[in-house]
Amino acid sequence: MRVVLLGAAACAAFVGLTACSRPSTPQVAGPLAIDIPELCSKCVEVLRCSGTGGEAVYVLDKKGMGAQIATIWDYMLQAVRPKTEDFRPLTVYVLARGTSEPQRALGGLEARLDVWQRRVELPAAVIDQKTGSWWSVKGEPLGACKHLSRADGLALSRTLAAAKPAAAAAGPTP
Amino acid sequence: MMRKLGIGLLVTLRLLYGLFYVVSATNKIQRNYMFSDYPLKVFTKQMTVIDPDGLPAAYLGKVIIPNYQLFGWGITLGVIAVATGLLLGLCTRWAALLAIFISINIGLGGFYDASLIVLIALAVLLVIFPAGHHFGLDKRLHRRHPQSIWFR
Repeated sequence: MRVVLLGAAACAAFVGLTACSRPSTPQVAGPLAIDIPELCSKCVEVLRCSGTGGEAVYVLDKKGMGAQIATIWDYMLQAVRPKTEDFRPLTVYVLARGTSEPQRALGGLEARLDVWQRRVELPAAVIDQKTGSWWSVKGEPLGACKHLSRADGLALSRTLAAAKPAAAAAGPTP
Repeated sequence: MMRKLGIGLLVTLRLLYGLFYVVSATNKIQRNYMFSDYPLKVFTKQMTVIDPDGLPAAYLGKVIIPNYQLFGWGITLGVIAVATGLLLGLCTRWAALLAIFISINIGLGGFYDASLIVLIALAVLLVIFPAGHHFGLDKRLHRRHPQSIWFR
């Protein structure tokens, strides 16, 4: 009896927490032009953006081992408190206009996934996942982004990584 | 003192692991894994992510996808059984073994990352140590049925 009560108490506590700790504002609903699963720790997402802001490829890489293990907590906690943000290792490739040739590569960066507002926050830009629009952090429109399929994205990211672009030239980080 | 601490940690691990599977079971039920083609969509999408020449692709393509409904049922009932067993301390070692089996299948399907190694290692602890004999039904049932392999 004591055991059943203990199990029931653990479940009740969990369900209780679930009920009272959800964010009060509604989440931006789908369908999304850029759908990035926030709990996938080994997915490589490649976003290709173009417009007045030039051309850039954002490679959101798989997480490190520690972050992969931490997804156990993320998975559990999503029942108590929905995941509102996630972080991914990021490499930015600035492309020569109209080509797939990288002019610059900026690695060791981090992208923040705003899961609630459905935005990808980059070092100097923001991508709206609902529409795919590409904005500067100041809110100026830069263009639009396309979420490449996994196969195309992986192929492009490998090509870009192998291209060894020239040393960083002066210019803003997109 | 150390023994009590060990037992406390073991029971905590068992309950947390059980809660993890409660979340998993809730997810499977909410997404209707048993009565819809949702698992087929998940498995098909996974095929586009993994190496088409690897073992996971062969396992997904030749075993899981053709039998997606069976796997939908198996996964859902499996996670419910693990959650129930671990939370109540009922057939605990078997529940942990089932958790290992499920984890290995998840890995074989290509849904693996480093967290799977940790989950399997923790489940192995629950197979090795009699976690259900503390604050669990296994203790009482083992007394009543000492020959049974289910409550050890």
